[in-house]
Amino acid sequence: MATPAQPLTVAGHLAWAARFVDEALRDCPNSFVRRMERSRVVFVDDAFVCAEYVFEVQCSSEDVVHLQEGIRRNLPGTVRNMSMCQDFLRMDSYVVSIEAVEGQPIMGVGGAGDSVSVSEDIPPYVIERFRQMEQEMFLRPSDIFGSTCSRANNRAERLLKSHLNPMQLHDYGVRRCFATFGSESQAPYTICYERNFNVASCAGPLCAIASDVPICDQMLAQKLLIETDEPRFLEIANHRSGGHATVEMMRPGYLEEQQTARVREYVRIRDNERRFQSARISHAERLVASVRADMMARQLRNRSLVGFLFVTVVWWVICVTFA
Amino acid sequence: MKTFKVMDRSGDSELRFAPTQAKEAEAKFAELLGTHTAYKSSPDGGNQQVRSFKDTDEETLFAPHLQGG
Repeated sequence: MATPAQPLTVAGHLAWAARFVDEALRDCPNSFVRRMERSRVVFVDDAFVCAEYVFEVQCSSEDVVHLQEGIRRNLPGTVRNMSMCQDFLRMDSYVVSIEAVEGQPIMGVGGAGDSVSVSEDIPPYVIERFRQMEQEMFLRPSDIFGSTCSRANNRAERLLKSHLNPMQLHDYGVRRCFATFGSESQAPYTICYERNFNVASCAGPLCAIASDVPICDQMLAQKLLIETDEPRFLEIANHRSGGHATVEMMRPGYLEEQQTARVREYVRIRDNERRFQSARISHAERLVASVRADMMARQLRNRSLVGFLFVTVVWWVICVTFA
Repeated sequence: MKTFKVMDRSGDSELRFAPTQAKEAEAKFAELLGTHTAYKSSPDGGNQQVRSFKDTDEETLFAPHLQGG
């Protein structure tokens, strides 16, 4: 597939990405893109350096392989990394993440969940350029590099630590994440040092961000909202499935129940299918048996008729001979 | 002395109001509620949301509104 000739806007870039996925899905008739989003984009002087596209596809496990091959075929040399994982709740869904490099220029970044990130293998001059941009523009090193070296993030981290209890402080020091409990359901939430999808819950990862503050401030804002107004947090936060989680989903064992229900439903459908098939088979068998019986009866009838005619002819010949 | 701790790009900023500046503090509180959620420490060691200005609250923390990412 040809790459676009003109520099693209963010929306245009996303549409372009959607096109190559559609192209890759052409051979898989029962598959379609359920939801698509671009999460991370890195650009220097309006030139697109690399991006990570995350989208959700409904397809079978065989089609996922076709999709993977199709994307690599359509984007030769540009796909650096690709991962696919099955959706926890919807077994026919896959979350596909593609990291593309050296693509086409874009004009900027936008959207609530967008963040700028730099991978390890980005050339040093790009990182240097980011440092300059950080001074010129609104970008912060804490956002770009996720480091704690910036003054803003240090302040935010101090503030966050002042609101953590000793257990949370220990966890934050060791694993850069801590656990807290919802005000309504009392369910555990784990808040990690990440910009997007950093809240792990019983219902899966949730994403609610505060884009204009360092990550530690965002973590504190999430912690406070979960502890004081859990339903509001769940209403705001996006779930991986594309919808929103509810307090009901935070109930212990909810996920297991859902999976058990799904398995039950699957077994029910399978049993129904088998019953239907066996009913169809027995019906077909009955049909064959009746056809056979019919044929035999007809044969018998024919044979009887032939026999009768034969006897009649013989009788007639005898009669004629003796007469 | 009344203190507003507001989370922002620099980490957080502190706004201090003398007891004589209650009106300014109230106006600022109302302004900040448009973009932030206000919290104060509760006696049990936790936090609670503050929805209206109270002269008795010494320190109020303003966390930015979250949005689905």
